[in-house]
Amino acid sequence: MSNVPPRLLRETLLAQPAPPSSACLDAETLAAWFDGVLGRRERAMAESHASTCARCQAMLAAIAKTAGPSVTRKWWQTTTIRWLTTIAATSTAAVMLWMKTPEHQPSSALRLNQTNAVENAPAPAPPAAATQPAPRKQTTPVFKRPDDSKDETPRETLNEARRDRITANAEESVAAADDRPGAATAVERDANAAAPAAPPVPLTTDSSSQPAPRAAAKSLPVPFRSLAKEINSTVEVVSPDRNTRWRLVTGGGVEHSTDGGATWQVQSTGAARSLTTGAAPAPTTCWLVGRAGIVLLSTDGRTWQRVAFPETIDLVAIRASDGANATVTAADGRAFTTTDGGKTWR
Amino acid sequence: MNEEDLELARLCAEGDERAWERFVREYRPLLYRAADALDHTQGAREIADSLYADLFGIKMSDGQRQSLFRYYQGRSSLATWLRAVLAQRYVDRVRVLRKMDSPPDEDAAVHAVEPDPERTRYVALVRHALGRAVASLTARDRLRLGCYYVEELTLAETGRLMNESEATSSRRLARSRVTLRQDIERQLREEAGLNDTQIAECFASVTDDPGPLDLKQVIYE
Repeated sequence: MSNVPPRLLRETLLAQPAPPSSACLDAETLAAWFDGVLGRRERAMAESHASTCARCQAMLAAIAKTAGPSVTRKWWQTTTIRWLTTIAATSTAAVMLWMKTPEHQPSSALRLNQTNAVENAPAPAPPAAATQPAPRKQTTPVFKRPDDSKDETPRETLNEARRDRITANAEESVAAADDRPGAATAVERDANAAAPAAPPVPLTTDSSSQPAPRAAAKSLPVPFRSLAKEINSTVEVVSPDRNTRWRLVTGGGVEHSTDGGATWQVQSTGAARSLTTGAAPAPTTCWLVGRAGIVLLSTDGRTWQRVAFPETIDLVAIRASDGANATVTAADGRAFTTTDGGKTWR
Repeated sequence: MNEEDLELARLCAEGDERAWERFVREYRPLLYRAADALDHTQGAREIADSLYADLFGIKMSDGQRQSLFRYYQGRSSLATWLRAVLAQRYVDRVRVLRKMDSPPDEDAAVHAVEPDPERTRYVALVRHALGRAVASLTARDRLRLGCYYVEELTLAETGRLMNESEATSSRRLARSRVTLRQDIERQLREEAGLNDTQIAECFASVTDDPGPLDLKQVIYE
Protein backbone atom coordinates (compact mmCIF):
# COMPACT_ATOMS: atom_id res chain seq x y z
CA MET A 1 0.00 0.00 0.00
CA SER A 2 1.41 3.32 -0.98
CA ASN A 3 2.21 6.11 1.40
CA VAL A 4 0.63 9.52 1.76
CA PRO A 5 0.83 11.35 -1.57
CA PRO A 6 3.76 13.77 -1.33
CA ARG A 7 1.84 16.62 -2.89
CA LEU A 8 -0.91 16.35 -0.32
CA LEU A 9 1.65 16.01 2.43
CA ARG A 10 3.42 19.12 1.20
CA GLU A 11 0.17 21.07 1.14
CA THR A 12 -0.69 19.95 4.62
CA LEU A 13 2.72 20.91 5.92
CA LEU A 14 2.35 24.29 4.26
CA ALA A 15 -0.96 24.71 5.97
CA GLN A 16 0.45 23.88 9.38
CA PRO A 17 3.05 26.61 10.05
CA ALA A 18 2.08 29.49 12.24
CA PRO A 19 2.84 33.08 11.19
CA PRO A 20 6.15 34.64 12.24
CA SER A 21 6.21 35.83 15.81
CA SER A 22 8.54 37.52 18.25
CA ALA A 23 9.83 34.08 19.11
CA CYS A 24 11.45 33.78 15.67
CA LEU A 25 15.05 32.68 15.71
CA ASP A 26 17.60 35.49 15.46
CA ALA A 27 20.74 35.31 13.37
CA GLU A 28 22.86 34.43 16.38
CA THR A 29 20.68 31.42 17.21
CA LEU A 30 20.40 30.35 13.59
CA ALA A 31 24.16 30.46 13.21
CA ALA A 32 24.69 28.64 16.49
CA TRP A 33 22.25 25.97 15.26
CA PHE A 34 24.41 25.28 12.23
CA ASP A 35 27.67 25.45 14.14
CA GLY A 36 26.25 22.90 16.57
CA VAL A 37 26.76 25.05 19.64
CA LEU A 38 23.17 25.28 20.80
CA GLY A 39 22.53 23.57 24.10
CA ARG A 40 20.27 20.54 24.08
CA ARG A 41 17.31 22.36 25.60
CA GLU A 42 17.85 25.45 23.50
CA ARG A 43 18.04 23.35 20.39
CA ALA A 44 14.82 21.54 21.25
CA MET A 45 13.06 24.88 21.77
CA ALA A 46 14.40 26.22 18.49
CA GLU A 47 13.31 23.07 16.67
CA SER A 48 9.90 23.28 18.24
CA HIS A 49 9.45 26.85 17.03
CA ALA A 50 10.88 26.21 13.58
CA SER A 51 8.60 23.24 13.06
CA THR A 52 5.60 25.58 13.04
CA CYS A 53 7.10 28.83 11.73
CA ALA A 54 7.27 29.21 7.97
CA ARG A 55 9.74 32.09 8.14
CA CYS A 56 12.22 30.34 10.41
CA GLN A 57 11.92 27.15 8.41
CA ALA A 58 12.68 29.06 5.24
CA MET A 59 15.66 30.74 6.90
CA LEU A 60 17.04 27.45 8.12
CA ALA A 61 16.61 26.03 4.64
CA ALA A 62 18.35 29.05 3.16
CA ILE A 63 21.33 28.64 5.45
CA ALA A 64 21.45 24.94 4.68
CA LYS A 65 21.56 25.78 1.00
CA THR A 66 24.38 28.25 1.46
CA ALA A 67 26.57 25.70 3.18
CA GLY A 68 29.23 24.01 1.11
CA PRO A 69 28.89 20.35 0.20
CA SER A 70 28.84 18.20 3.26
CA VAL A 71 32.13 16.59 4.08
CA THR A 72 31.74 12.87 4.13
CA ARG A 73 33.62 11.49 7.06
CA LYS A 74 35.90 8.61 6.23
CA TRP A 75 34.70 5.40 7.76
CA TRP A 76 37.69 5.03 10.01
CA GLN A 77 37.05 8.51 11.36
CA THR A 78 33.58 7.71 12.62
CA THR A 79 33.00 7.62 16.33
CA THR A 80 31.99 3.96 16.27
CA ILE A 81 35.12 2.85 14.50
CA ARG A 82 37.30 4.95 16.79
CA TRP A 83 35.72 3.31 19.79
CA LEU A 84 36.03 -0.14 18.26
CA THR A 85 39.70 0.48 17.52
CA THR A 86 40.35 1.50 21.09
CA ILE A 87 38.51 -1.52 22.43
CA ALA A 88 40.36 -3.85 20.05
CA ALA A 89 43.75 -2.44 21.02
CA THR A 90 42.95 -2.73 24.73
CA SER A 91 41.70 -6.29 24.33
CA THR A 92 44.81 -7.30 22.40
CA ALA A 93 47.03 -5.82 25.09
CA ALA A 94 45.07 -7.66 27.79
CA VAL A 95 45.36 -10.99 25.99
CA MET A 96 49.10 -10.50 25.46
CA LEU A 97 49.60 -9.71 29.13
CA TRP A 98 47.61 -12.78 30.06
CA MET A 99 49.73 -14.91 27.75
CA LYS A 100 52.94 -13.54 29.23
CA THR A 101 52.18 -14.77 32.72
CA PRO A 102 54.12 -18.03 33.46
CA GLU A 103 51.10 -20.12 34.36
CA HIS A 104 49.62 -19.45 30.97
CA GLN A 105 52.76 -20.22 28.96
CA PRO A 106 52.11 -23.15 26.57
CA SER A 107 54.35 -26.23 26.61
CA SER A 108 57.59 -26.16 24.58
CA ALA A 109 56.21 -28.58 21.99
CA LEU A 110 53.18 -26.48 21.54
CA ARG A 111 55.34 -23.36 21.40
CA LEU A 112 57.41 -24.96 18.64
CA ASN A 113 54.31 -25.80 16.65
CA GLN A 114 53.02 -22.30 17.13
CA THR A 115 56.32 -20.83 16.00
CA ASN A 116 56.29 -22.93 12.86
CA ALA A 117 52.70 -22.03 12.22
CA VAL A 118 53.53 -18.38 12.62
CA GLU A 119 56.55 -18.62 10.34
CA ASN A 120 54.52 -20.38 7.65
CA ALA A 121 51.63 -18.04 7.90
CA PRO A 122 51.36 -15.01 5.67
CA ALA A 123 52.53 -11.74 7.11
CA PRO A 124 49.88 -10.42 9.52
CA ALA A 125 48.07 -7.25 8.87
CA PRO A 126 49.17 -4.30 10.97
CA PRO A 127 47.07 -3.46 14.01
CA ALA A 128 43.74 -1.90 13.31
CA ALA A 129 44.80 1.47 14.65
CA ALA A 130 47.70 1.66 12.24
CA THR A 131 45.77 0.43 9.27
CA GLN A 132 45.31 3.05 6.59
CA PRO A 133 42.56 2.01 4.25
CA ALA A 134 42.56 3.17 0.69
CA PRO A 135 41.11 6.67 0.60
CA ARG A 136 37.50 6.73 -0.41
CA LYS A 137 36.34 8.85 -3.23
CA GLN A 138 35.17 12.19 -1.85
CA THR A 139 31.71 12.30 -3.19
CA THR A 140 28.44 12.87 -1.48
CA PRO A 141 26.75 9.52 -1.23
CA VAL A 142 23.51 9.24 -3.09
CA PHE A 143 20.66 7.88 -1.04
CA LYS A 144 17.30 6.89 -2.28
CA ARG A 145 14.51 9.20 -1.39
CA PRO A 146 12.10 7.49 0.93
CA ASP A 147 9.65 5.27 -0.91
CA ASP A 148 10.11 7.03 -4.16
CA SER A 149 9.49 4.60 -6.92
CA LYS A 150 11.03 7.00 -9.41
CA ASP A 151 14.42 6.17 -8.03
CA GLU A 152 14.21 2.98 -9.99
CA THR A 153 14.72 5.13 -13.05
CA PRO A 154 18.32 5.42 -14.19
CA ARG A 155 19.86 8.60 -12.83
CA GLU A 156 20.85 9.86 -16.28
CA THR A 157 17.26 9.61 -17.41
CA LEU A 158 16.10 11.49 -14.36
CA ASN A 159 18.57 14.30 -14.90
CA GLU A 160 17.69 14.53 -18.55
CA ALA A 161 14.02 14.67 -17.71
CA ARG A 162 14.66 17.40 -15.17
CA ARG A 163 16.65 19.44 -17.65
CA ASP A 164 13.89 19.12 -20.19
CA ARG A 165 11.32 20.10 -17.65
CA ILE A 166 13.24 23.16 -16.56
CA THR A 167 14.09 24.44 -19.99
CA ALA A 168 10.81 23.62 -21.66
CA ASN A 169 8.48 25.62 -19.50
CA ALA A 170 9.15 26.82 -16.03
CA GLU A 171 5.48 27.05 -15.31
CA GLU A 172 4.68 23.54 -16.43
CA SER A 173 3.32 21.44 -13.69
CA VAL A 174 5.58 18.85 -12.23
CA ALA A 175 4.49 15.29 -12.65
CA ALA A 176 2.13 14.39 -9.87
CA ALA A 177 3.84 11.10 -9.35
CA ASP A 178 7.11 12.78 -8.53
CA ASP A 179 7.82 12.40 -4.88
CA ARG A 180 8.94 15.98 -4.57
CA PRO A 181 9.31 18.23 -7.58
CA GLY A 182 12.77 19.62 -7.85
CA ALA A 183 13.92 17.49 -5.00
CA ALA A 184 17.14 15.70 -5.60
CA THR A 185 20.17 14.46 -3.87
CA ALA A 186 23.06 16.84 -3.51
CA VAL A 187 24.61 15.37 -6.61
CA GLU A 188 21.50 15.93 -8.67
CA ARG A 189 21.06 19.43 -7.34
CA ASP A 190 24.62 20.30 -8.28
CA ALA A 191 24.02 19.01 -11.76
CA ASN A 192 21.10 21.38 -12.09
CA ALA A 193 22.63 24.19 -10.12
CA ALA A 194 22.01 26.83 -12.75
CA ALA A 195 18.33 26.14 -13.02
CA PRO A 196 15.78 27.99 -10.93
CA ALA A 197 13.36 25.92 -8.93
CA ALA A 198 10.15 25.03 -10.68
CA PRO A 199 7.14 26.93 -9.44
CA PRO A 200 4.44 25.17 -7.49
CA VAL A 201 2.04 22.96 -9.29
CA PRO A 202 -1.27 24.62 -10.11
CA LEU A 203 -4.02 22.48 -8.72
CA THR A 204 -6.53 21.88 -11.42
CA THR A 205 -8.51 18.99 -12.68
CA ASP A 206 -9.03 20.46 -16.09
CA SER A 207 -6.07 20.67 -18.37
CA SER A 208 -7.87 23.05 -20.68
CA SER A 209 -8.09 25.58 -17.92
CA GLN A 210 -4.37 25.78 -17.18
CA PRO A 211 -3.78 29.22 -15.76
CA ALA A 212 -1.60 31.80 -17.39
CA PRO A 213 1.56 32.11 -15.32
CA ARG A 214 1.76 35.11 -13.12
CA ALA A 215 4.59 37.23 -14.38
CA ALA A 216 5.64 38.45 -10.99
CA ALA A 217 5.60 34.99 -9.50
CA LYS A 218 7.75 33.81 -12.34
CA SER A 219 10.24 36.56 -11.72
CA LEU A 220 10.73 35.56 -8.13
CA PRO A 221 13.94 33.66 -7.70
CA VAL A 222 12.47 31.57 -4.97
CA PRO A 223 13.94 28.20 -4.33
CA PHE A 224 11.73 27.67 -1.32
CA ARG A 225 8.46 25.91 -1.63
CA SER A 226 6.79 27.68 1.26
CA LEU A 227 7.61 31.06 -0.20
CA ALA A 228 6.86 30.13 -3.75
CA LYS A 229 3.49 28.64 -2.85
CA GLU A 230 1.73 31.87 -3.46
CA ILE A 231 -0.19 31.34 -6.62
CA ASN A 232 -3.67 31.61 -5.35
CA SER A 233 -6.52 29.96 -7.05
CA THR A 234 -9.80 31.23 -8.31
CA VAL A 235 -12.62 28.76 -8.39
CA GLU A 236 -14.72 29.05 -11.47
CA VAL A 237 -18.13 27.45 -11.47
CA VAL A 238 -19.21 26.65 -15.00
CA SER A 239 -22.82 25.99 -15.93
CA PRO A 240 -23.79 23.32 -18.46
CA ASP A 241 -23.96 25.81 -21.33
CA ARG A 242 -20.29 26.76 -20.70
CA ASN A 243 -20.97 30.44 -21.42
CA THR A 244 -22.58 31.17 -18.12
CA ARG A 245 -20.18 30.90 -15.25
CA TRP A 246 -19.35 32.37 -11.88
CA ARG A 247 -16.02 32.88 -10.24
CA LEU A 248 -15.30 33.34 -6.57
CA VAL A 249 -13.44 36.40 -5.41
CA THR A 250 -11.55 36.70 -2.15
CA GLY A 251 -13.71 37.86 0.73
CA GLY A 252 -17.00 36.38 -0.38
CA GLY A 253 -17.37 38.18 -3.69
CA VAL A 254 -18.73 36.63 -6.85
CA GLU A 255 -18.37 37.60 -10.47
CA HIS A 256 -20.63 36.46 -13.25
CA SER A 257 -19.97 35.94 -16.93
CA THR A 258 -22.35 35.07 -19.74
CA ASP A 259 -19.76 35.05 -22.52
CA GLY A 260 -17.55 32.19 -21.45
CA GLY A 261 -15.38 34.28 -19.17
CA ALA A 262 -14.51 37.04 -21.64
CA THR A 263 -16.15 39.68 -19.46
CA TRP A 264 -17.19 39.60 -15.82
CA GLN A 265 -19.78 41.47 -13.78
CA VAL A 266 -19.57 41.76 -10.04
CA GLN A 267 -22.50 40.35 -8.13
CA SER A 268 -23.33 41.12 -4.55
CA THR A 269 -23.81 38.11 -2.33
CA GLY A 270 -23.86 39.70 1.09
CA ALA A 271 -21.44 37.03 2.26
CA ALA A 272 -18.74 38.25 4.59
CA ARG A 273 -16.78 35.04 4.53
CA SER A 274 -14.70 33.43 1.83
CA LEU A 275 -16.40 31.08 -0.53
CA THR A 276 -14.69 27.87 -1.43
CA THR A 277 -16.55 26.29 -4.30
CA GLY A 278 -19.88 25.95 -6.05
CA ALA A 279 -22.03 24.06 -8.49
CA ALA A 280 -24.16 25.38 -11.33
CA PRO A 281 -26.67 22.78 -12.54
CA ALA A 282 -28.31 25.29 -14.89
CA PRO A 283 -27.37 28.66 -16.44
CA THR A 284 -29.63 30.43 -13.96
CA THR A 285 -29.08 28.18 -10.96
CA CYS A 286 -25.94 28.21 -8.90
CA TRP A 287 -25.03 27.01 -5.42
CA LEU A 288 -22.00 28.36 -3.59
CA VAL A 289 -20.49 27.19 -0.31
CA GLY A 290 -17.74 28.56 1.91
CA ARG A 291 -16.33 29.01 5.37
CA ALA A 292 -18.30 28.55 8.54
CA GLY A 293 -21.28 26.87 6.95
CA ILE A 294 -22.10 29.51 4.40
CA VAL A 295 -24.36 28.36 1.58
CA LEU A 296 -25.64 30.67 -1.14
CA LEU A 297 -28.18 29.96 -3.83
CA SER A 298 -29.11 31.87 -6.95
CA THR A 299 -32.10 30.76 -8.99
CA ASP A 300 -32.12 33.64 -11.42
CA GLY A 301 -28.41 33.84 -12.08
CA ARG A 302 -28.26 37.41 -10.76
CA THR A 303 -29.31 37.61 -7.13
CA TRP A 304 -28.15 35.53 -4.20
CA GLN A 305 -29.90 34.22 -1.13
CA ARG A 306 -28.28 32.90 2.00
CA VAL A 307 -29.40 29.35 2.71
CA ALA A 308 -29.52 28.25 6.33
CA PHE A 309 -27.06 25.52 7.16
CA PRO A 310 -27.13 23.50 10.39
CA GLU A 311 -23.44 23.83 11.30
CA THR A 312 -20.74 26.50 11.16
CA ILE A 313 -18.15 24.13 9.78
CA ASP A 314 -16.12 24.98 6.66
CA LEU A 315 -17.68 23.55 3.52
CA VAL A 316 -15.39 22.27 0.83
CA ALA A 317 -17.52 20.76 -1.92
CA ILE A 318 -21.01 20.75 -3.34
CA ARG A 319 -22.92 18.79 -5.96
CA ALA A 320 -26.29 20.00 -7.15
CA SER A 321 -28.76 18.71 -9.71
CA ASP A 322 -31.11 21.71 -9.55
CA GLY A 323 -32.21 24.52 -7.28
CA ALA A 324 -33.71 22.09 -4.78
CA ASN A 325 -31.33 19.14 -4.62
CA ALA A 326 -27.75 19.52 -3.43
CA THR A 327 -25.16 17.62 -1.43
CA VAL A 328 -22.54 19.56 0.49
CA THR A 329 -19.29 18.13 1.87
CA ALA A 330 -17.79 19.61 5.03
CA ALA A 331 -14.10 19.94 5.82
CA ASP A 332 -14.29 16.98 8.17
CA GLY A 333 -15.69 14.79 5.40
CA ARG A 334 -19.33 14.70 6.41
CA ALA A 335 -21.94 15.07 3.70
CA PHE A 336 -25.19 17.06 4.05
CA THR A 337 -28.01 16.73 1.57
CA THR A 338 -31.03 18.91 0.88
CA THR A 339 -33.96 18.17 -1.38
CA ASP A 340 -35.92 21.36 -0.71
CA GLY A 341 -33.55 24.13 -1.70
CA GLY A 342 -31.78 24.20 1.65
CA LYS A 343 -34.79 24.44 3.95
CA THR A 344 -33.80 21.17 5.55
CA TRP A 345 -30.55 19.20 5.58
CA ARG A 346 -29.85 15.63 6.46
CA MET B 1 33.41 31.49 21.93
CA ASN B 2 35.03 32.43 18.67
CA GLU B 3 37.46 34.93 20.15
CA GLU B 4 39.36 35.65 16.97
CA ASP B 5 36.19 36.26 14.93
CA LEU B 6 34.76 38.38 17.72
CA GLU B 7 37.87 40.52 17.81
CA LEU B 8 37.77 40.99 14.06
CA ALA B 9 34.11 42.00 14.27
CA ARG B 10 34.84 44.42 17.10
CA LEU B 11 37.66 46.08 15.18
CA CYS B 12 35.54 46.30 12.03
CA ALA B 13 32.71 47.85 14.04
CA GLU B 14 35.15 50.43 15.37
CA GLY B 15 36.23 51.28 11.85
CA ASP B 16 39.67 49.74 11.90
CA GLU B 17 40.75 49.86 8.26
CA ARG B 18 43.13 46.93 8.40
CA ALA B 19 40.50 44.76 10.06
CA TRP B 20 37.97 45.80 7.44
CA GLU B 21 40.42 44.97 4.64
CA ARG B 22 40.98 41.59 6.14
CA PHE B 23 37.29 41.03 6.53
CA VAL B 24 36.61 41.95 2.91
CA ARG B 25 39.44 39.75 1.70
CA GLU B 26 38.40 36.71 3.70
CA TYR B 27 34.64 36.96 3.88
CA ARG B 28 33.52 38.68 0.71
CA PRO B 29 33.97 35.56 -1.45
CA LEU B 30 32.14 33.51 1.16
CA LEU B 31 29.23 35.92 1.25
CA TYR B 32 28.96 36.02 -2.52
CA ARG B 33 29.09 32.25 -2.71
CA ALA B 34 26.28 32.07 -0.19
CA ALA B 35 24.27 34.69 -2.13
CA ASP B 36 24.72 32.77 -5.36
CA ALA B 37 23.61 29.58 -3.65
CA LEU B 38 20.39 31.32 -2.61
CA ASP B 39 19.73 32.76 -6.02
CA HIS B 40 21.48 31.36 -9.03
CA THR B 41 20.63 34.44 -11.06
CA GLN B 42 22.83 36.45 -8.69
CA GLY B 43 19.79 38.34 -7.45
CA ALA B 44 20.88 37.86 -3.86
CA ARG B 45 24.19 39.61 -4.46
CA GLU B 46 22.33 42.86 -4.11
CA ILE B 47 21.41 41.78 -0.60
CA ALA B 48 24.99 40.79 0.08
CA ASP B 49 26.14 44.24 -1.02
CA SER B 50 23.62 45.99 1.18
CA LEU B 51 24.76 43.76 4.00
CA TYR B 52 28.27 45.07 3.47
CA ALA B 53 27.00 48.59 3.82
CA ASP B 54 25.33 47.72 7.11
CA LEU B 55 28.38 45.87 8.35
CA PHE B 56 30.58 48.81 7.49
CA GLY B 57 28.14 51.05 9.28
CA ILE B 58 27.02 53.65 6.81
CA LYS B 59 24.06 54.60 8.96
CA MET B 60 24.95 57.14 11.60
CA SER B 61 23.28 57.56 14.95
CA ASP B 62 24.35 60.42 17.23
CA GLY B 63 27.48 60.81 15.18
CA GLN B 64 28.40 57.19 15.78
CA ARG B 65 28.68 54.59 13.08
CA GLN B 66 26.12 51.88 13.57
CA SER B 67 27.68 48.71 12.36
CA LEU B 68 25.82 45.46 12.14
CA PHE B 69 28.87 43.81 13.64
CA ARG B 70 27.66 45.00 17.03
CA TYR B 71 25.13 42.18 17.00
CA TYR B 72 27.68 39.45 16.53
CA GLN B 73 28.26 37.82 19.89
CA GLY B 74 30.88 35.27 18.89
CA ARG B 75 28.74 32.30 19.72
CA SER B 76 29.06 30.87 16.24
CA SER B 77 31.77 31.45 13.70
CA LEU B 78 31.61 34.78 11.91
CA ALA B 79 31.18 32.97 8.58
CA THR B 80 28.07 31.11 9.76
CA TRP B 81 26.64 34.25 11.36
CA LEU B 82 27.06 36.12 8.08
CA ARG B 83 25.29 33.34 6.23
CA ALA B 84 22.48 33.48 8.78
CA VAL B 85 22.07 37.25 8.41
CA LEU B 86 22.13 36.96 4.64
CA ALA B 87 19.55 34.17 4.74
CA GLN B 88 17.32 36.22 7.03
CA ARG B 89 17.40 39.20 4.71
CA TYR B 90 16.86 37.10 1.66
CA VAL B 91 13.88 35.28 3.10
CA ASP B 92 12.36 38.50 4.39
CA ARG B 93 12.80 40.19 1.05
CA VAL B 94 11.12 37.30 -0.72
CA ARG B 95 8.26 37.41 1.77
CA VAL B 96 7.81 41.14 1.20
CA LEU B 97 7.87 40.67 -2.56
CA ARG B 98 5.35 37.92 -2.22
CA LYS B 99 2.99 40.14 -0.24
CA MET B 100 3.35 42.99 -2.71
CA ASP B 101 2.76 40.50 -5.42
CA SER B 102 -0.55 39.32 -4.04
CA PRO B 103 -2.36 38.25 -7.17
CA PRO B 104 -5.36 40.02 -8.54
CA ASP B 105 -8.13 37.58 -9.20
CA GLU B 106 -8.05 37.92 -12.95
CA ASP B 107 -4.49 36.62 -13.00
CA ALA B 108 -5.17 33.77 -10.68
CA ALA B 109 -5.40 30.17 -11.54
CA VAL B 110 -8.77 28.87 -12.54
CA HIS B 111 -9.92 25.56 -11.20
CA ALA B 112 -12.63 23.41 -12.51
CA VAL B 113 -15.06 22.30 -9.87
CA GLU B 114 -14.98 18.65 -8.96
CA PRO B 115 -18.53 17.39 -9.35
CA ASP B 116 -18.26 14.06 -7.55
CA PRO B 117 -19.27 14.53 -3.89
CA GLU B 118 -18.15 11.04 -2.86
CA ARG B 119 -14.68 11.72 -4.12
CA THR B 120 -14.56 15.17 -2.57
CA ARG B 121 -15.76 13.66 0.66
CA TYR B 122 -12.92 11.14 0.60
CA VAL B 123 -10.40 13.86 -0.19
CA ALA B 124 -11.77 15.99 2.62
CA LEU B 125 -11.58 13.08 5.04
CA VAL B 126 -7.97 12.30 4.14
CA ARG B 127 -6.97 15.94 4.36
CA HIS B 128 -8.63 16.33 7.71
CA ALA B 129 -6.95 13.18 9.02
CA LEU B 130 -3.60 14.14 7.54
CA GLY B 131 -3.74 17.56 9.17
CA ARG B 132 -4.29 15.94 12.53
CA ALA B 133 -1.64 13.30 11.92
CA VAL B 134 0.96 15.92 11.01
CA ALA B 135 0.06 17.96 14.06
CA SER B 136 0.61 14.93 16.27
CA LEU B 137 4.14 14.31 15.02
CA THR B 138 7.06 15.44 17.15
CA ALA B 139 8.43 18.89 16.36
CA ARG B 140 11.60 17.33 15.07
CA ASP B 141 9.81 14.96 12.72
CA ARG B 142 7.59 17.79 11.48
CA LEU B 143 10.58 20.02 10.91
CA ARG B 144 12.36 17.27 8.97
CA LEU B 145 9.31 16.73 6.79
CA GLY B 146 9.03 20.46 6.22
CA CYS B 147 12.66 20.77 5.24
CA TYR B 148 12.42 17.93 2.77
CA TYR B 149 8.95 18.26 1.30
CA VAL B 150 8.26 21.97 1.64
CA GLU B 151 11.66 23.60 1.45
CA GLU B 152 12.87 20.94 -0.95
CA LEU B 153 16.22 20.45 0.67
CA THR B 154 18.21 17.46 -0.40
CA LEU B 155 18.65 14.62 2.04
CA ALA B 156 22.20 15.82 2.67
CA GLU B 157 21.00 19.34 3.42
CA THR B 158 18.16 18.06 5.56
CA GLY B 159 20.58 15.90 7.49
CA ARG B 160 22.94 18.81 8.00
CA LEU B 161 20.12 20.97 9.28
CA MET B 162 18.84 18.26 11.59
CA ASN B 163 22.33 17.41 12.80
CA GLU B 164 22.08 13.83 11.62
CA SER B 165 23.45 11.83 8.75
CA GLU B 166 21.90 11.74 5.31
CA ALA B 167 21.00 8.09 5.81
CA THR B 168 19.36 8.81 9.15
CA SER B 169 17.31 11.61 7.62
CA SER B 170 16.21 9.30 4.85
CA ARG B 171 15.24 6.59 7.29
CA ARG B 172 13.34 8.92 9.60
CA LEU B 173 11.48 10.56 6.75
CA ALA B 174 10.33 7.18 5.60
CA ARG B 175 9.31 6.31 9.14
CA SER B 176 7.34 9.55 9.49
CA ARG B 177 5.46 8.84 6.31
CA VAL B 178 4.57 5.37 7.49
CA THR B 179 3.42 6.84 10.80
CA LEU B 180 1.25 9.37 8.98
CA ARG B 181 -0.24 6.69 6.80
CA GLN B 182 -1.09 4.50 9.77
CA ASP B 183 -2.54 7.40 11.70
CA ILE B 184 -4.73 8.43 8.77
CA GLU B 185 -5.94 4.87 8.29
CA ARG B 186 -6.76 4.62 11.97
CA GLN B 187 -8.73 7.87 11.89
CA LEU B 188 -10.61 6.85 8.76
CA ARG B 189 -11.45 3.48 10.26
CA GLU B 190 -12.24 4.46 13.84
CA GLU B 191 -13.59 7.97 13.52
CA ALA B 192 -15.08 8.09 10.05
CA GLY B 193 -16.23 4.47 10.18
CA LEU B 194 -14.80 3.49 6.82
CA ASN B 195 -13.93 -0.04 5.81
CA ASP B 196 -10.75 -1.18 4.06
CA THR B 197 -12.20 -0.74 0.59
CA GLN B 198 -13.36 2.78 1.34
CA ILE B 199 -10.01 3.64 2.89
CA ALA B 200 -8.30 2.43 -0.25
CA GLU B 201 -10.66 4.60 -2.29
CA CYS B 202 -9.83 7.56 -0.07
CA PHE B 203 -6.15 7.18 -0.82
CA ALA B 204 -6.84 6.62 -4.48
CA SER B 205 -8.82 9.87 -4.55
CA VAL B 206 -6.00 11.93 -3.10
CA THR B 207 -3.41 10.15 -5.20
CA ASP B 208 -5.24 10.99 -8.42
CA ASP B 209 -5.59 14.63 -7.54
CA PRO B 210 -5.73 16.25 -4.15
CA GLY B 211 -8.38 18.62 -5.48
CA PRO B 212 -8.69 22.26 -6.36
CA LEU B 213 -8.91 23.71 -2.89
CA ASP B 214 -6.10 25.58 -1.22
CA LEU B 215 -5.50 23.73 2.03
CA LYS B 216 -3.96 26.79 3.57
CA GLN B 217 -7.30 28.50 3.24
CA VAL B 218 -9.35 25.50 4.18
CA ILE B 219 -7.55 24.80 7.40
CA TYR B 220 -6.22 28.08 8.62
CA GLU B 221 -8.27 30.95 7.34
